[in-house]
This record gives sequence, structure tokens and C-alpha cells, in this order.
Amino acid sequence: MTKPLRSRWQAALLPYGLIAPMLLLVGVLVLYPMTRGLLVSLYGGRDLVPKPEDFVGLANYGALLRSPELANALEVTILYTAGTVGLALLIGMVCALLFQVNFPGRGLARAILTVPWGTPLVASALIWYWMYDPQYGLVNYVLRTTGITTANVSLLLSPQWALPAVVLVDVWRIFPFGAVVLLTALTAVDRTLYDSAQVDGAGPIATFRYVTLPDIRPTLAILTLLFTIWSLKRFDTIWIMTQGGPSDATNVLAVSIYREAFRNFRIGNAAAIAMIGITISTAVTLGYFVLERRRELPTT
Amino acid sequence: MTRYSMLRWVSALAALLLCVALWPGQSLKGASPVEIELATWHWTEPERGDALRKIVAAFTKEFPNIKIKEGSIPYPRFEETMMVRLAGGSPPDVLVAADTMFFSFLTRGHLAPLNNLLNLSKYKGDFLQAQQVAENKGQTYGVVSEYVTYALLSNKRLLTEAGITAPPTTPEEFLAAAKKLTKAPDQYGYGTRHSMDQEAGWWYEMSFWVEGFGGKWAAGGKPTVNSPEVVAGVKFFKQMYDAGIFPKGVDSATYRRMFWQEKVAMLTDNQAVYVITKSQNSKIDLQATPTPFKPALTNAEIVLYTIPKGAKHPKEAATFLDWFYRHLKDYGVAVQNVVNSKSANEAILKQFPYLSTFVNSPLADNGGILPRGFETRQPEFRNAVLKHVVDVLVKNTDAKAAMDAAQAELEQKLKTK
Amino acid sequence: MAVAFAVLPIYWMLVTAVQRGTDLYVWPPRLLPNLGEVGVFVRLFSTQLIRQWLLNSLLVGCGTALLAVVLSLFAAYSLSRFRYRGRALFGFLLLLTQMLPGTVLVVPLFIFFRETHLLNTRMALVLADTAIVAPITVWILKAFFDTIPEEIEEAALMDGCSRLGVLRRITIPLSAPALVAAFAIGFFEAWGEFAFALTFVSDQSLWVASVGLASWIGYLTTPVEIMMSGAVVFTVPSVLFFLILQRQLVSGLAAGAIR
Repeated sequence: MTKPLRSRWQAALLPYGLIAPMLLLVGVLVLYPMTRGLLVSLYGGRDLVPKPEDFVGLANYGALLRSPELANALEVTILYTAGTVGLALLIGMVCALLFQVNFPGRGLARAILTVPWGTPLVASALIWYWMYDPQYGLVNYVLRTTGITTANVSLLLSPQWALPAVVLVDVWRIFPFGAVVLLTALTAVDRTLYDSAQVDGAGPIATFRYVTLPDIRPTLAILTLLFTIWSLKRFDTIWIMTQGGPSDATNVLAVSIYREAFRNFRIGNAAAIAMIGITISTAVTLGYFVLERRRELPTT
Repeated sequence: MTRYSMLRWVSALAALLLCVALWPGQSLKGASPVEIELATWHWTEPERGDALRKIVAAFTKEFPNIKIKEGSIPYPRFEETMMVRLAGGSPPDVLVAADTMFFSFLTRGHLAPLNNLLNLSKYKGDFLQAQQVAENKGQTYGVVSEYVTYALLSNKRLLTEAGITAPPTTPEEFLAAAKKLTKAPDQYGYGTRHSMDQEAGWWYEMSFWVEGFGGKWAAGGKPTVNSPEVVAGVKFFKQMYDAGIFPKGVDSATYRRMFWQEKVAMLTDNQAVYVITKSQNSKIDLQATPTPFKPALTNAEIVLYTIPKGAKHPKEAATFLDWFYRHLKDYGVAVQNVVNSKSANEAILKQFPYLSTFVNSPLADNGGILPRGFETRQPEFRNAVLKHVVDVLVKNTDAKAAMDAAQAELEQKLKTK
Repeated sequence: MAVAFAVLPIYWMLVTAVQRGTDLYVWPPRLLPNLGEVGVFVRLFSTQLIRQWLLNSLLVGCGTALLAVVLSLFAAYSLSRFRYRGRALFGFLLLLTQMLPGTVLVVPLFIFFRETHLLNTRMALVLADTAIVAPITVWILKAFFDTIPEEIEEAALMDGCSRLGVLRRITIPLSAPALVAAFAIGFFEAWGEFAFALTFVSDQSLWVASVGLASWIGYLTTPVEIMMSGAVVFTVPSVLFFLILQRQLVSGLAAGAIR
């Protein structure tokens, strides 16, 4: 009599037990500081650890919502995010599909794919900075020898081209991640489905559309979500290459946060900007959950 | 044993080893010797790092009970990393700060007054004027070790080849000479920072050109960035940009190397660049002359040694500071730089006569790069101004209009505490 | 096209790494490596401090990857296989962690590590990096687990296997590729991480490769060719190490499935 009861208890507690260590770590190291961050955004002053007398309530938010800089930063962030996520997914998907096919040198190509990923961030920004060098850089050389331009071009100084230029760098850094994760998902697609699609006379595009895509959909969805969330907070590359310039053309939210926190040391204001970013991320995430729920409902 | 279970054992073992390797080593050190941490970006700089190490070795020889630990942070992130450590309650014992950082640390109450820790009055007669930076409300918060100033560095051979007999002494002469010296894209007359990714460094050159036209960033407790003098300086910078006399979009690391490879003819740069140029290219016919203004003026970057509040070993840190000041001459000779000591400078200048150019030019108001009255807000000030100068450069915005916008933005920003 | 995009910067990094300083500033740029300068890598590898940095990165990378994989394996299994109160909330909380910029996290984490006496240790970096990366690996693994048909597991449960037994005997072997991907994600995240490594560790001998490389960005000047050779030295080991490990892991985990 006691045994089944105990095991039922065990069964009920098992999922909690499994997830507990993870929640503990994340709770202590991220969620708790995050709550603190929310509180910090209610403080003014110019210290990294605000003093109690600097409490200002919602003043930071009020000032931010009125500032044209925030509007600009939001616009740039959206462009930047759409650009990086779209391109990284596209290129990652193409690579993953390519690696499904057996071709000579596939192993080597896969190995090379991990290089951008294994390159320390500082290094990758420096490589691209050097490639973009308007005097001796590769990009300038290619543009000039192909006759696209006749004068030296400095992409990072151009209000139109600076943003695409930094987008490209971050796409380069993250698309291998997408490729590897998508490739993993592709290996799990049921082979027999492909065979039956072939029997039905479906072309490669139709096969991809109706067989592959639905099967890797969960992975693709979570990947899109992760890429979006990351793009909203990524700043390192931009900070090294342009620091948000020229004329704030690359001034994404995360760069504003960094400047406010570690140049001007107004941690309260930085936290307030971060909270605005988090709100956007949360909206995107909730959208994801709603879609996911809607998809799950008919089956369960 | 199957492969699977072997893998399990191997990974368990690996995990165990990793834990051991990662576990923080328990320090079993006794009370002596005391270890003090000296935090500076100089440790990773080629010349200064070695010079400092030599000095520290000599110190440890005299005080075997005080060991000095290198706290090493790369220069581009030095200020923010130190600020985290200061605010987070884990400061080093001796903290080296450049002038802007010094104000940043000081206003947030992170620096200890030195008056109780060591007797500086005995050096009063020996200090240079620059030491005043460290004084605040009757207390001394740091010892200035050295400062670097800006001068006109030029490549005599290239100038002679272009038919220029003497280095320019006015902005107009400078522009004309630089145009003559420019054979793009192989050779340029000048090299300067001019983009936001080089914000902190660009501020030196921008300040310098603005002050050359009599401009001041701030006066009477108000920013004055749209004053006619400042606008004239910005206009001149735009003129240089449009004339193509410096390589566009090229950062200081690159154009300085172009300079010592004799592909850039003139720089307005500091004495450390002079030294490194000489050491990189011994054949270069390098000359340093006063800046191309009448009267010539220069701006300076001052380096201070401080002791943070909450340092674990303030007494030992003070012992080091005192000793270091007494041996500034050795340090100055090693890095070929003038130091904050009249007596030491005599010897240093005798050994390196060219340094006198860098010392003799009068300093611009407040050292040049610190807007008077807004010393602690310099990063914000700088960002707001330079952002609008970029508009002038790449978007052809009118200089006056851009500076008006900068002024408005600053007035708005500086209102908030 | 995609391959060229991936390869070109790497090629350019290699070419630049083996040029003499004076050959970098010429027009047209040299498109081929100067093989006479390959010795630069030997020189760098033979520097004791650089080897130490690489070792630190390796330790932190593996530590993070292992911890992240183990934690997220269980968490992902919990999220994927069970329906219980709080499940959606937990999943959402984990995603929430990804939204906070590291910038805002640095100060509170610094204080936390000071209080736990973990400043200046590699352990601090492992913990911080894991906290950042593990929620990602959870979601990647969960997405993968979702694609494994539950019938396979149910059959084993019928045979009297416990839940954890199923996880060990069936789910783990079947998810080998995903687990390896998760390991890679953890490893490379820690390998490239910079802000934490810079702030939490001030001993040069405890630096990781990314901080070591950044320290070559000088106050006055930064030699491009040295930065690039450094970048090569700090990239190649991570990739090589990972590739070797990947082979071992895949075959090891897959072997379990056959048994």
C-alpha cells in the first residue's frame, strides 16, 4: 500500500527534481540579479551601485520615452535584428541542407564552418575591421579592382553602409551556430518520409516545403527566437567597430546600455533601457509561446 | 568493458579532474610578506611594462616584505573594469588612473585621501604644476607620475622632398603643407582620428584643433561648444577632411604605423609616439616642433597613482607610492618621458633634449581635454560633441548648425545630475 | 557563396597573420601568405603565458560545456516529457535569462563572486558562463527531444525500466547529435566570452585566451599582423579540440544505442 503511494509521489516530483538544479543556478546567477536590475532602473545618480538617496521612481523611463535617441536606437535595433536573424537563418539553413548531401571535402567544410564560431569575439571584430580598412583592406581592394568604386571606401564611416557592414560581421559569427543546430534537427527527420515523397514525385523544393520544414519546425522556431533575443542584446562587435557611429547609424539599444553603464556610469538609466529591451524580447517570446500553444492544442 | 561504460568512466574522471583544476586554490600564505596589487594598463604595454617591472623589482629588493602583484587590464576597458571593482568592493591597492578616469573615480568617492597615509609636503617644491589635478577640497588624492603632451611630429625627409623647408607654424601653413605632402593613396600629409570607434582618442585631436582657434569646450559653468572659436576649429577640421590630407576611416593604430613607415608625413601626437616611432624605424628623420598655432599650445594626458578606498593594504601601498616618487627619475629615463619632478626632469631633459619641445609649450585651459566645470562629465560631453562633428564630416551638416545642436543636447544632458 | 562567406575572413586572417609588418601597408594588398613568416606561430605557442591562457580557456570551455550539458539534459527532459504545473513558467523563465544584456549583469555578479570568494578563479567563469549558456542548450535539447517519438520510451517503461533508466538507455543515445551540438554551444560560448573573463579575473596567469588577445590592443598602437596571428593561435586549438572531441562523443554515445 505504501509503496505505490511513494512511487506516485516520486513520479510527481521527478520533473521538478530534474529541472531544479538548472533553476537554482540560473536563479542565483541571472534571475536574482535581473530583479535587482529592475529595481536599479528606479535609481538615478551616477554610480555603478546606486545609493539609496538617488531613488527617482520612474523618472528614468519618463526621460527615455521622450528622448529622440531612444526612438533612433529602437529603429536601428529592429533593422539590425531583422538583418542578422534573417541572413543568419538563411545562410545557416543553406549550409545545413548542403551538408546533408555527401560531397567530397564535406568533413573539411564542416570543420571550417566551426571556425567563425571558435574565433574569440575580439578577434572576429578585428579581422573584419581590418578587412573593412579603407586603405589596405580586402573589401576595399575587391570593390576597387572590380570597378564598383574608384575611390577608397570606408564602409564604417558611411551612415548608409555602416549598419549593413556590422550586420554582416555578426551574421558571420552566428550562422554556424544555426547551421549546426539545424543539421542536428535534419538528421532526426524520418528517412522514410523522403522516400515516400520521392515516390509521390515531389521535387526538391516541394520535399523541403512539405517534408523537411514541418519536421524541423520546432528547432527552427526556437532558433529564430534565440537569434532574435540575442540580437537585441548583442553589442560587442558594434562597440569595437563603430561605437554606435557614424551619426548613431549603428547605435542599437545594447550599445546605448553599454555607454550609459560603463562610459557615463549611470547604471539606473542603463537598466531602464535594458528593461525596455527586455519588454520587447518578452513580447516576441510570448508571441512564440502563443503560436506554439496553438500548434500543440489540436494534438493534445 | 563496453565502449559505453568506458566512456562513462572516462567522462566521470574528466569531470573530476576538471573540478580539481577549476577549484579555487586555498591560499595558505602567512602574514608576511604582504602582497599589494598594482593595477594599471601599463603592464601590457611593451616599453612601459618592462620599465615598471624593473622599478618594482628594485622596490621589492629594498622592501622584501612587500610583494607587488600585477593587476593587468587592457587599456580600452581599463576604466569600466576598475569601476566595477571599486563599486563592487574589491579594489586594488594601488590604482593608476589617467586624468579623466581619475575624476571619474574621485567623484564617486572611490579614492582615499593620501594626506593621512604619507607626507607629501616634503615634495611640494619638486612637484610640477600638473600635481594640482590631484588636489580636491584641501586633500590630495593621487601622485602625478608623468604626463604626455602633444606636439607636431614630422618626417623631415618627406618635408624636404616636397620643398617644405620648415615645419608649419599656423593652421593655414599646415593645411597647405599637408596638401603638398599627400599623394593618395600611397602617401598622406597627416594622420588623425576622426570616427566614433576612436572616440576617446579623437577627443585629443579635436580638442587640440579647437583650442588652436581659441575655442574652449566650456566656460563659466556652461558648455560653449557653439562659440565662434569652436565652430572655426570644427570648420577647419572639416576642411582637412575634405582636402583628403589624412587617410579616411583609418584608425590610429594603422596611421601611426604608416607614419613610421614614412607613408604619413605629419602627426599631431604625443611624446610616447615619438619614442615608439624612433624605436620602430631607426632611420626615420623625425623632428618634433611646437604645434602649428600662434601662440603654440598643447594638451596633456596626466597619469596619477592613487590608493582606492577599501584597499586591503593602504599602508604598504603608501610606502610604495613614496618610494616610487623618489625614484621617478629612473622611470622617466626608462620610458623617455618627463615626470612630475623638477629635479628629475633636469636629468631626463639632459639625456633626451628633444623632450623639451613637449615640455615647453603652454598647456591649454584645464589641460585641454577636460571641459572646465564638467571634468567628471567628460565622456558624455565628448560623445555629444563628437557625434555632431561626425555629422559635419560625413553628412556635410553646416558646422554652426551641428554645434548648435550639440550645445542644445549638452545643455539638456548636463541638467540631469 | 555561403562557404566563401565563411572562409574568406578566415583566409584573410591567416594571410595577414603571416605578413611582415611593412608588407601590410601596400597597394595592392598581398593576397597570398608569406610562408617565410610561419615561424610566428611557433614563437607564440612557445610563450609560456600564451599556453597558460589557452589551457585556461580549455578548462573553462570544457567545464562550462559539461556543466551546461548535464544540467540542461535533465531540465530539457523534464520540459519535454512531463506535463506539470509550472512547466510553461519554467521554460519562460529560462528564456527570460537570455534577454538581460551581460552589461547589466556584470556588477551584481561581481559582488556575488566577491561574497563567495570566487573572484580571480576559473570556477567563477564556469558558473557565470554556464548560467548564460545553459538555458539555450535546454531549449535546443527540448526541441530535439520533442522530435523523438514517445512510443519508443513507453515500450521501455512497459518493460519495467525506470524513467531515469529510459533517459539513460534510450533518450541519451538517440540524442547523441543534439548533445554534441549542446556541448559545442557551451564550449564555444565560454571560449569566446570576454566581458566576464575580463572583470572577474585580474591575474594574468588566470586569463583566458580572449582577454589575453584583447590585451594586445595597445594604448598607442595595435600591430594587426600580431593580432591576427594571435587570433589564429586562439582559434585553431578550440576548433581542433572540438573536432576531436566531437568524433569521440558521437561514436561513444552512438555505441550506447546499439547496446
